[in-house]
Amino acid sequence: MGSCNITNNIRRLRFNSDEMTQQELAEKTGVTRQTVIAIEAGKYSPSLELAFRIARVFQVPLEQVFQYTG
Amino acid sequence: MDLSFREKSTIVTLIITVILFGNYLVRACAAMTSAGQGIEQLTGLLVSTVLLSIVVSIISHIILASAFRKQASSDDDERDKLIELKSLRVSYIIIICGSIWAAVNGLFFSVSSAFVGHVIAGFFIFSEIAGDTAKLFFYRRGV
Repeated sequence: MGSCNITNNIRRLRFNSDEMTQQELAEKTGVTRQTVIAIEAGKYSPSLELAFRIARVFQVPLEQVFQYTG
Repeated sequence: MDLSFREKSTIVTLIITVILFGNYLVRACAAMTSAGQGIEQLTGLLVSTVLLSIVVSIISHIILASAFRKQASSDDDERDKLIELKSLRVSYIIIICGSIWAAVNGLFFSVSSAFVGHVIAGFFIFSEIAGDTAKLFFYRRGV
């Protein structure tokens, strides 16, 4: 519990998107800032729909945001 | 520590439950062990504790919502719903086990119905505390 086999590049992608804040990403994807923090820290695996919404915000394919390491 | 509104709300609920129902449980246990006072006399205390907890919860959540207006107005997201679901499962397991245990005692042993009622109430309180604790655990450690 608390760890998952999915890694992500959200922090780097935020940095490359004019240093987008966690709050801004949360508002654009319709979740709370705490959920963005949990996803970034690998404490929560988002649903497929939320994963696609995050990828769409950064305008990159899903695989550039999330990687399965299992 | 950066807490979401749901976490703050859960902490407030947990504190209220522990204080008010802890007081009730201490008095109920004292009544069960002492010869002078019967457990039947504690029904009034149980009802007043439930009513008081409802009133205190409503007031405290109004204060909390007005203090964190922006956070309070946001809907639950998928993580909130998943944590709610998992913590409810913890609560349900405890309340079901407690109810079965109380029912078995009531059916097969010569215990009063008041005792069975108070045991179920005790397990209900415990399930609430365990559910809220599980919720805080899932919020902090991940789900």
